[in-house]
Amino acid sequence: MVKFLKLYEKIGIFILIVAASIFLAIVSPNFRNLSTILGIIMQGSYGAIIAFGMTLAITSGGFDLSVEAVMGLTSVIIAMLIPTMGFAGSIIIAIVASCFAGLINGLLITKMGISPLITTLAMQVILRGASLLITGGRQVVISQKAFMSIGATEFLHIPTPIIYMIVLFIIFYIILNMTAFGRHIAASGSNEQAAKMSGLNVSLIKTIVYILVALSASIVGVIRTSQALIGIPTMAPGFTLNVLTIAILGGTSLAGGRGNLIGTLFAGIFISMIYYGLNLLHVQIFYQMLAVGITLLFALFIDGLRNRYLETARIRGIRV
Amino acid sequence: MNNNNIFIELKNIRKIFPGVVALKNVDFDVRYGEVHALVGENGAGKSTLIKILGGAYQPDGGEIIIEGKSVTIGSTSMAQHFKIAVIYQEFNLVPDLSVAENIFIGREPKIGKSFINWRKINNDAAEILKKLEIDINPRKFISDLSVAEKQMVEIAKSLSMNAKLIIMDEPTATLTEKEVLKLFSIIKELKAKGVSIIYISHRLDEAFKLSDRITVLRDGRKIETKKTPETNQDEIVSLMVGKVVKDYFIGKKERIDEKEIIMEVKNYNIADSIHDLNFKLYKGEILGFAGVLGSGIHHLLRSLYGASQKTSGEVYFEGKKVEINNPSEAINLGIGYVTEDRKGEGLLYDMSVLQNLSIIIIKTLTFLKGLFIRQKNELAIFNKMANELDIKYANVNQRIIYLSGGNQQKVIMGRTLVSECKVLILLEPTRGIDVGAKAEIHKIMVELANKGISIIMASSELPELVNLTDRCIVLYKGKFAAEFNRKNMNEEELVAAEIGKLSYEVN
Amino acid sequence: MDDSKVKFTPKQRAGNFLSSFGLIVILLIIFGFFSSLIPKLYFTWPNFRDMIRFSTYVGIGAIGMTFLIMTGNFDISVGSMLALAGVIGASIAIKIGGFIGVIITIIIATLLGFINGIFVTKLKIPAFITTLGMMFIFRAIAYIYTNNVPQYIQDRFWIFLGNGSFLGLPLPIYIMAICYLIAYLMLKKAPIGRYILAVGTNSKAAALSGIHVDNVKILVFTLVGVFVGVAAVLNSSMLGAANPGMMGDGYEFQVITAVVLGGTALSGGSGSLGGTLLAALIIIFLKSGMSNAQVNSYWQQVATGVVLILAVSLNKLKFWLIGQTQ
Repeated sequence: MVKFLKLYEKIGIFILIVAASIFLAIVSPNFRNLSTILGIIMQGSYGAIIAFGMTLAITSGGFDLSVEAVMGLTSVIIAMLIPTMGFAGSIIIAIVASCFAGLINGLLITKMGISPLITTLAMQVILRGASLLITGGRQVVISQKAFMSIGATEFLHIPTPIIYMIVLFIIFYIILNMTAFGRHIAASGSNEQAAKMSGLNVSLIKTIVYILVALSASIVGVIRTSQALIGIPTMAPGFTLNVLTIAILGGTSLAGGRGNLIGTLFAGIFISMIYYGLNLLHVQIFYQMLAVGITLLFALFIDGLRNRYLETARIRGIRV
Repeated sequence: MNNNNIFIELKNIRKIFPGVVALKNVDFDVRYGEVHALVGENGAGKSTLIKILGGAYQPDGGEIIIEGKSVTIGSTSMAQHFKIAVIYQEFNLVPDLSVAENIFIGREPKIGKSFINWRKINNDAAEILKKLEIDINPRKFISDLSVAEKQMVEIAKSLSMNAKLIIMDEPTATLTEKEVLKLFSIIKELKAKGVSIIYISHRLDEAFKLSDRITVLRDGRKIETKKTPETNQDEIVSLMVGKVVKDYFIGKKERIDEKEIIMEVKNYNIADSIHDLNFKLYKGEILGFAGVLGSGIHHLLRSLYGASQKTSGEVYFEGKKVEINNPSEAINLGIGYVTEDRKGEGLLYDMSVLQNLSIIIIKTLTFLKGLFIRQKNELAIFNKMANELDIKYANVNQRIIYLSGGNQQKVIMGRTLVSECKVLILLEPTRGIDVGAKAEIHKIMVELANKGISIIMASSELPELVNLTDRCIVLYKGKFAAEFNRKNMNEEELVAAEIGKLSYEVN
Repeated sequence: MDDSKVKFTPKQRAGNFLSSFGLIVILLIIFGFFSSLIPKLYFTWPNFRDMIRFSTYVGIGAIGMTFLIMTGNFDISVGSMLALAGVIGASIAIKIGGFIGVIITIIIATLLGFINGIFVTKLKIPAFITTLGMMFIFRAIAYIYTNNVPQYIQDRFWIFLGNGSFLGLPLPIYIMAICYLIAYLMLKKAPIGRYILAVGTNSKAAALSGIHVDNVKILVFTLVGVFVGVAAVLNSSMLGAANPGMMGDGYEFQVITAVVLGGTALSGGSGSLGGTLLAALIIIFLKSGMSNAQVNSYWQQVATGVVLILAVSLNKLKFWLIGQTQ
């Protein structure tokens, strides 16, 4: 059983994807053509990108509930600033502002010792309020159509969000698995005491992680804004749940220390497949909410099962 | 003596904790390439000393001299800077990183500024492990290693920092015989390389096999440093035990003539800690359990109370076979338990003295089918118990954390006693409380036993066991080692049995 | 050692003062500030009465959460729980009758709380993520159940509960008083109160005292449901409708803020129902004041987030002053 669970952690998501693919290929003829598949992957890329950041946060032993508000903040800053500052300037300022919010999250959590739950929940409300303040509660239309080139175009027949996802995946993968910093993130989440005793600056590491989460959310905010050509202060309500679900479903354990970015990448696509499947059924959007919630509980169930099993094995004296 | 041989020297080191002097003017030195054993009973000051060396504690007085220079070891990373590595019992390893990463954590070989050079880190780790003749794949994760392997990794980690002094705290407590031999050969190699080692162990035979010198600590004082070839185990044991401070209650406990068995344990096993244990407990008896770290006593007593699981075995209570799956079932049978970890799992910090005392029996002090508490009854029971145990408090609503250790311990004992238990399991009943209160607790125990309550007591303070218990069972590595009764009980033989040097049953 | 005298350092005294009177002082300052700023709108009996009436919504829901946070857990699904129980109960009230509807609302919410408890304790999943998932599931079911149609209630009994008055005071105040009385009795006079405190302050010690820690936790999650159920009835009664989307939006935030501001430690153990009640009043007094003073509603939203962070910091300060390290 433990072996199965360990295996699941590594390849469980692929089994789910294969199963979902077979199912969709049977029920939907459209699923067999490339553009549909690319469409599904593109829809999955938004959640996946933020979930890369979230995976880092969970690996470091925390999490961030403020990501959807960061997307909204990014969106309104860009919409408000584009007329005066142009594309580059507005995007940079939006991203810097988002990273600043991540910095505050990190400082409150590491320096003030406030729990990630309270900190990021409060940040979520504060940022949403701030975004609404910036636009006065309106949605702001962006008149520069060229801005669409950022997120609503194709490159070599591949939608650009997929390109961004792949690039960011590579970057985050390298950070987490190949750099000393990434390994120190895992160390902080795996055994904080030992990490501190080994001379690591755990506070700094965690703070940077929260900045990276905000950065990933901000990037998706840019992409979504470019596609919609509207600055939306309340962008993507409920998206935080999607992101957490993707990270956990991908096999990243809530216990910290073990981040699985490959799993995250494919879990993002899997969630998108669920949406696609539900769309085929022409059900209302609420069913999608329900489906994501249930998927999360399923992923948690597996995670919980694994922890339980390890505990029983320990009591019985079984080496695992 | 040639001073150039000395790597580190401690002079007049003093460390005071609130209410306790942990180290009193200790002088201590370690030479290059020396294995220096540090021995002493629990509370002698060994762990305080190594925490000072490891930079975790700051001394309140005295001087530390490393390679001729007076220094301050202000933090754990400064200890690393001075090439001192401490291997604590609970390892400082990160379970989700690989062996190689753990060895070089914070000092990883890199390509450029940030990328870990995987080839180099694995090769370097493999090289260090090979030097130590340790057969562990550096790519393996720590969480997949056995305790012994983790220890080897800690040693490799110390070596990778070019540590000149490695401190090992009870390194063999949880190792098998074979693993111990492996550890010894590694220690000998380290020694040959000029690395100094401070070796802390309860097992004297190990100290004698390995060390060049042995230092005995007792009650925070250094008693003596002996060259190992010039001494023997008997001498060291007598130095460790010393003259017993007569602060123990020596009340005459009534003899139990009718041997009525209240509890019997047969073929008891707990994974990794207790193996095939059998014992009986008589009515009105104080039965002691003695053993050093790794003896499994705490696991045993916890599982008898249902606080942890046994692997196999039978328990008979008042002649009937019973299964105790959780503390509530134990309480219903009439078994009480007082933890040794008063802070961690005894005190209900945020609650009052009264509430702390009544928590076990509160559900019986109710009216309207258990809906409401009869507060008068609760208070009456509290007053009675407070009187019996002489608990000192300002008022019943005072929070328990404001009481002294002795009074806290009395409240926690009282909590169990009000449930009118027939068997009382006490772990380290006098740990961390001052002398006067100790005597009081002992008096209470004898009175309880005279009333017919059977007490199982685990203690690492031997005089306590010798003075109080009717019988004492010694466990060594989870197995029965020896049993003593009032007539033949003495500290020297208890120590010998605890460290596996004595294995017989006295009738 | 003699323990028969209690001595406090000046620092501890400051901490004790803060925990005893801090909230009343804050409440008076807020009330005084808005009363002097906008006396005609704020310092009037109707406004005062309304503020207290509305405070019952947060105040009652926060009772269960106080218990829950005392045991070191959270439930962020309460907003959706409120909506789901509310819409189902309201639909029953419309079809069958108000009284049955009220009962059903409370039963549904209780059941949802129980489900949360089972997931958290039996599967050992952290409460935040379980209840986050439930937050979406409950909300989704509320949408699906109603097909996103608000349930307008005309039932007289139902409407009366939230809008009626008795002896010149709004009925919800009496309901809230009863709820607090029951909760107070549970916490102070019943064994279960001791168990809740014991589990929160030191769950290992509680387990060694023969308390079934998991059962206590499940019970507390269930209690959250009970009180949210009552709040759901009052809320939909006051608004005249149970709206699957709007109902309980941000409720978890207000409730948690009330509990934390009320002085309950996030790490569990200590907590006070009186503090929670005062904090619920503070939140409503502040909100009403800002609305009446025509503070931009988005600023209000920012303020609620800041208040939560401040409340936690205040708590940390208090425990630091008293010298209790958790």
